[in-house]
Amino acid sequence: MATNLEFIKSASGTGVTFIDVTDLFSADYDVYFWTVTKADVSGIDNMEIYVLDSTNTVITDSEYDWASLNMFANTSFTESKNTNRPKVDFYGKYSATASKNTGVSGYIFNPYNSSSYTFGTIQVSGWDDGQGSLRGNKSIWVHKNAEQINGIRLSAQGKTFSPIEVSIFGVK
Amino acid sequence: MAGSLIKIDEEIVTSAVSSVTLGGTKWDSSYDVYMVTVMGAEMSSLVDIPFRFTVSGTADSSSNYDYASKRLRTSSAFSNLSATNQAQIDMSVAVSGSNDLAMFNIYIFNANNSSEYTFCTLESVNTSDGTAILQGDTGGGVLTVAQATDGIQFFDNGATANIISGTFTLYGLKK
Repeated sequence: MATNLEFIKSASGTGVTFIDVTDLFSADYDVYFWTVTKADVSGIDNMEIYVLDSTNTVITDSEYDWASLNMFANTSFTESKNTNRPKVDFYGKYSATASKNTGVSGYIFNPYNSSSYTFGTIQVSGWDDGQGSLRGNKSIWVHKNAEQINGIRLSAQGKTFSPIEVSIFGVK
Repeated sequence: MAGSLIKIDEEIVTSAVSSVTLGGTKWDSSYDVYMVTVMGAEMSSLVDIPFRFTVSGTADSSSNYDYASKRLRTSSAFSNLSATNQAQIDMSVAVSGSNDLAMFNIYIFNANNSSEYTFCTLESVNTSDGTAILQGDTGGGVLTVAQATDGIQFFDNGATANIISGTFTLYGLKK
């Protein structure tokens, strides 16, 4: 029987403030899994995800909603949410120590369907210097415009990635 | 290829049905972990979508399900969904409406071991309430009966709503 988790592509860069993964989505898949396989960010900050339109142009219109749960090992959980935003913010890097980097992965649903919104989930595990604790994060998001989406952009509030590498798989 | 997903069963709903069952006679017991994806699920009215595990192809409707989830949403404070000794596991879903769709991922563990409970983790994201409010669940559930299970059934909530769309797919995680 066919194998149904299929590697599509990876993208990488160093000394960059964002990375675009273009021509990523297609009619071949409805569900995509992505993971950041390498990342070192120049400072402590949230990461951001944007979607790219059918011409691989980043969409920065106020069309994103997101909701995010932060889970700390040593204190109460916190929540945050926002609507009609120009991007999706999610927990990125909160430790200045290189050995305490962050693991990030997510799913994206239905991006290529021009008659549907694009949905996503994100899960993160990392270290938070401010709390001195493990910090996990679970986020959900939606791009609220029915249009064909071709790819994603990852960035970190203008911080520099040296390096960043992301891999994307299709679930068929 | 290690870690691959192998498709076992799929049901595509395009008109109202009272339930969707994956597995049963199509169940392949050679996996330790199973993944269920649901794309574009809609219910005919504003209810959660429940699911149960199947035993010999029939949904186990005993009151032996426990679940605990966090519901994330943009419209109000997040909430906890937790219960014990229920007849199903509840999950956030979209109600019929323009662009209101629900996406799920469910992982199933220990299904084939007759001496262990069947556990699952779940995550969902959807727009709902007919007004495109973003919400989703993250958490887990268990059927607290030491028995082998062989599938999953999504069904209408108390016969008050039908499943009117969605692509429901069951995968095995290749060892």
